[in-house]
Amino acid sequence: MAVMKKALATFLLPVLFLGCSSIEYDDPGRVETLTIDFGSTDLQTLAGEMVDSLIRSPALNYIEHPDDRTDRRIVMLMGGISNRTTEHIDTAGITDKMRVKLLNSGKFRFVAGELGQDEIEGQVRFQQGSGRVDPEKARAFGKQVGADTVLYGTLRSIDKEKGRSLEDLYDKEDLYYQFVLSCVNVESGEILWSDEAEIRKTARTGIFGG
Amino acid sequence: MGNTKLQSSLILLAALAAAACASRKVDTENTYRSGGEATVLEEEIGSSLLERQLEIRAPLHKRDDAGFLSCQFELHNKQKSQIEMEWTVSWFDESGMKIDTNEHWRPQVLGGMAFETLKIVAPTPAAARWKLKVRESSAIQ
Repeated sequence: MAVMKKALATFLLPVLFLGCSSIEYDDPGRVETLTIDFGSTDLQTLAGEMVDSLIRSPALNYIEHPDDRTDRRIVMLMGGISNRTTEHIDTAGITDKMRVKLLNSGKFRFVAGELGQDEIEGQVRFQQGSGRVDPEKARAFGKQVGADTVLYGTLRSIDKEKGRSLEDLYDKEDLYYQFVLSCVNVESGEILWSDEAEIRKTARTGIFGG
Repeated sequence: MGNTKLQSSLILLAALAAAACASRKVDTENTYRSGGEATVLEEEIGSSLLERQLEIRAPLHKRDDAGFLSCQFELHNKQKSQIEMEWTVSWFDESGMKIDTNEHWRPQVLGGMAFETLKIVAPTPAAARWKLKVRESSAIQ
């Protein structure tokens, strides 16, 4: 009997638990709280709140273009976001998401950033110098639209932890994110719009990790 | 006696394993649909528990100078205990076609008897109707 119990504990228990592992597709929009660190829901929330605010802002409805009076939408460049949190966060994920939503809204026009400019440079050089493109139809440098405004921002965090005590048997952590974004007029240097979005996350960890 | 203990152990193990293998919690949703500019919401109730706890109040609509529809509504916790819920909004054009927005669920905590006023803006000027979906918290943990 003792041997059976031992076998049960040694083999059956792990088999029962490991036997049910699975992989399944899920909704990318689902709320995720696997850990307290910056996650997909935080990225979606911060980007979403900023996009809503940019779309709502009457100060960004139009701008005068002396050379083109038919389309008065603001031409934007998506600048960088300075990561001043203690985590490694790919802030391009936030700016990419925002640019997609803003472009799809139809309210703004965008010029290519650094990555796009590298691609443009390679392509124009190819068209001009490879001998494979009809010279009359080859595109040239010097005809790009200049950005009216640049969007740039800062992501900060404040992280506090409190260990277990006799009064409280839980480890506690409080993580606060502040995301500030601004839209500056390239020519005048005037900040046309600025807003902030905040997120607070708290975690409690019991003695057994639960 | 020994066999009985073994049987009990097996039953307990099976129960534990079943709990560990249980598929993720899938919550039913409650949907509140706006009829264009109308401020009366059509309701589709999937979770009667959440319906008892939560009330959607005072929906407002406004179209701005750039043509974007903004909506505002109040979430009201009708109970004295805290609610942990999620909400999202889908947008539709005049003909009822859905506007793709990669919508995501937003977590919301409402204290007992608390109000939270939410303001949302349409993703494009073509958006004419919206559908608010709420459900109990079902975060990936």
